[in-house]
Amino acid sequence: MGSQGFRGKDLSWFDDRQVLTDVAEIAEKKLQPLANRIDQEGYYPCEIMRELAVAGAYSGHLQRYGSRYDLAIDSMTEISRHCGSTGFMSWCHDVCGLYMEQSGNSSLIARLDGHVRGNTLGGTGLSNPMKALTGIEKMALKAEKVDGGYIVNGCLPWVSHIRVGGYCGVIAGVSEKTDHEIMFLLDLDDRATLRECPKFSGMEGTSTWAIELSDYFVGEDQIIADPVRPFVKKVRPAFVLLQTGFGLGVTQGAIDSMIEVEDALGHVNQFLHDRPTELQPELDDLKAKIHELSSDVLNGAPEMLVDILDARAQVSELALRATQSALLHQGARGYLMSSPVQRRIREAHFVAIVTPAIKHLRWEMSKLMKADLAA
Amino acid sequence: MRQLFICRACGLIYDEEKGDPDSGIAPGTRFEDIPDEWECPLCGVTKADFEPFEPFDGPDTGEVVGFKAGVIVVGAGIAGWSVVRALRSVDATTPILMVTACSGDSYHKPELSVAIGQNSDRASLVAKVGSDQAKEFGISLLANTYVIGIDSTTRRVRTTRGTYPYTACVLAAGARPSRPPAFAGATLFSVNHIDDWERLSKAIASSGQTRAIVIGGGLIGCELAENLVSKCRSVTIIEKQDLPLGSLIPEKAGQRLLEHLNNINVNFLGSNTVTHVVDGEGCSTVYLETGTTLEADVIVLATGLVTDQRIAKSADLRFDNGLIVDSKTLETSQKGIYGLGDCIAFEGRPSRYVEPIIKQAKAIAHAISGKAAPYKHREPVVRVKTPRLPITIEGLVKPEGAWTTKVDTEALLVMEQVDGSSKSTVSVGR
Repeated sequence: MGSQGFRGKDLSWFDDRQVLTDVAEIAEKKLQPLANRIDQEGYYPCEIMRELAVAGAYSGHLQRYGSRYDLAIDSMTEISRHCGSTGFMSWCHDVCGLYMEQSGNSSLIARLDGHVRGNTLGGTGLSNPMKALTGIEKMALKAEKVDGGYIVNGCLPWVSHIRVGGYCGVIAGVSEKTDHEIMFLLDLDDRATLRECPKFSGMEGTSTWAIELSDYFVGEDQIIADPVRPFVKKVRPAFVLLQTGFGLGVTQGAIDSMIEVEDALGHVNQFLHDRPTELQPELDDLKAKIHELSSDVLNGAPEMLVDILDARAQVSELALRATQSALLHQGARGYLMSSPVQRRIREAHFVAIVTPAIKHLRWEMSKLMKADLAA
Repeated sequence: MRQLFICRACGLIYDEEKGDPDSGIAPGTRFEDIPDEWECPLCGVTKADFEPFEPFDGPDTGEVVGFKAGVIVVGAGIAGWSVVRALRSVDATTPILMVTACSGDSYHKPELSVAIGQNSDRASLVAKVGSDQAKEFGISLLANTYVIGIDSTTRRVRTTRGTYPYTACVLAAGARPSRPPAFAGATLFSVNHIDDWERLSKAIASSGQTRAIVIGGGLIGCELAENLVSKCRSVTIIEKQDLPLGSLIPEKAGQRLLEHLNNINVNFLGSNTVTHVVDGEGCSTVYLETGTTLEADVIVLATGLVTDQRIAKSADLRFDNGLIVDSKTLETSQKGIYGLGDCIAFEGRPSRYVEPIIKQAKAIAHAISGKAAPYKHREPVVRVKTPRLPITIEGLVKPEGAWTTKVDTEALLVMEQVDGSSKSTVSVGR
């Protein structure tokens, strides 16, 4: 896709290098100094996310900007390298934009401009439904058809990157018998109750809340997909692949921290496993593989899904190894509560447990391989 | 009995025996007696979001006790177990991990097509249950587990139950029935694995008056047809060539086999191909290219096997109809990764017979242990298990080439083909 029809700042979003340079600079200069506050005080960095949006961090993957998934992933990597929480929220924001664009609903597409520019912020509440649709657990929200829309009830336990006035993509079950669900953009106005979550071991600044809905009306203008299954089937590879940017960044940050102490501690660090010289080529290979997979992720062959799930699982495993090793490399200085090195261990744990967690990925791959063998 | 309830939102389990004292719910409080305003102590959802909890009770997947790094064998067919046996005979201690998509039960696959005509059951075919076999050889077995990819640079195998490092990796993953997308449905079977066999034999037993269609009149197709007649109301082979075993034996021999099939009431439809299969109520309709349609209760696919390329692609292994391997060591194009059995090919020709496997396993076991026992590939002797008309094929035959008839009696036909220094023989009957 060309750049016709876009003006001003949007035009620079078509220059991958420019976007990455700008995003990397904001992440390093502005985000990094805030990373501790975000992690420990729960500071929600929406101002910085707005700046990142203006730099084009959340545009690349959208069809209107050329479906450059590699750019969206690389942007997320640069952000996560300095702050995993913000990197994760970048994924939330990216997939929310993806739902809006792919919905084909003109009311939602009209809101996409504000979303990509960061004027409005929105996340995703698909953790439970994604697991529900693959048979791991049950759907938390229930919808009932009424005149002109649906009435939704239920509670979603923890949804990130939302706040009053924001929004997020969610799914509610209409009928279990007929596998009928609806997906909609949930506007978090006074009809929805946001409840505080217990304190997490990390990712505190991700503005994560429990959402309670009591007779919440969903109109046509909010519908992302009805029925949901074909839509989820289409966006799921993109949903999973985009998330790799978060883990890749946490891993790169960990390698950076190992190299940082090489001059001072190299004489003893040489006795460690998982040295930066081992991990960096692994990370680069994985990144190259992910770039390959990102070329046509919305229209890929069905067998590509296993490759995407595999890549996502590898990112988790690598992030766990790299962050663990970085702490061993940095020693006591990395163990200080103010050190990004210990923070990243908790971030990597989140990379590995957030939906799709390693175990979900394996469950799903196993299911796909079994079905493939039977076919 | 004490009941458990799980929070659908966060997975917290309410145990009636323990209650939730922090929220004032005394130990022993039954779930139904908890006030409706009660909230999940972990995530805050209400009582209505809880449901009765049944603890997981899944199949045994085996265990990986103490496997740090060693030889990883992918596949638990004859090839996989032969490699394990060969490795153990040269080295009793090297850690071995076997990863298999099935249970790992060991059985002799060539028996399956014959067993379909007998009153065999799974237990009578399984020589040893996978977990017992693993114990006997002192190896770790990961059953019901799929290999997703192999990283030949970092030497790691990625599976659906974790990533394992290897010092050597042996691919014994076999091949799978090639199935065109138009062939689908509940009545479609194959006999490439004991699990498939079990499904098929149960379907025949429950149908009683089975009309069976075998698609493909090659070796497996003919073997199955002969063994199916005793169990089925009718058996029809659909084959694209005009004679059975057309790519293995000369025309004259094929004619004899055809007569035999006719004599035992196997209906052979040569020069015919299936375009598609439509599933119906309890039976299916098979559509032929000629426009004819046939009804079937059971359709068995015997159109040959293909080797899956996922592993080869992930490890960047050279592939030509099967893994390309060194002719002596059976090492693939990547160091430390070996292949044998149905998943390899010599000069683009897969060798899907059992006979060479034991020698291949021995060569690999020696190569891995740094000893030499070079493999020498020889076309295996093929015995078609059509009990009432045994057929033997020796050497690499070219059915279209020139043949000399050596014996031609009512009971036995022997034909010979000489191509330079190599000689091939086909014998039909006794």
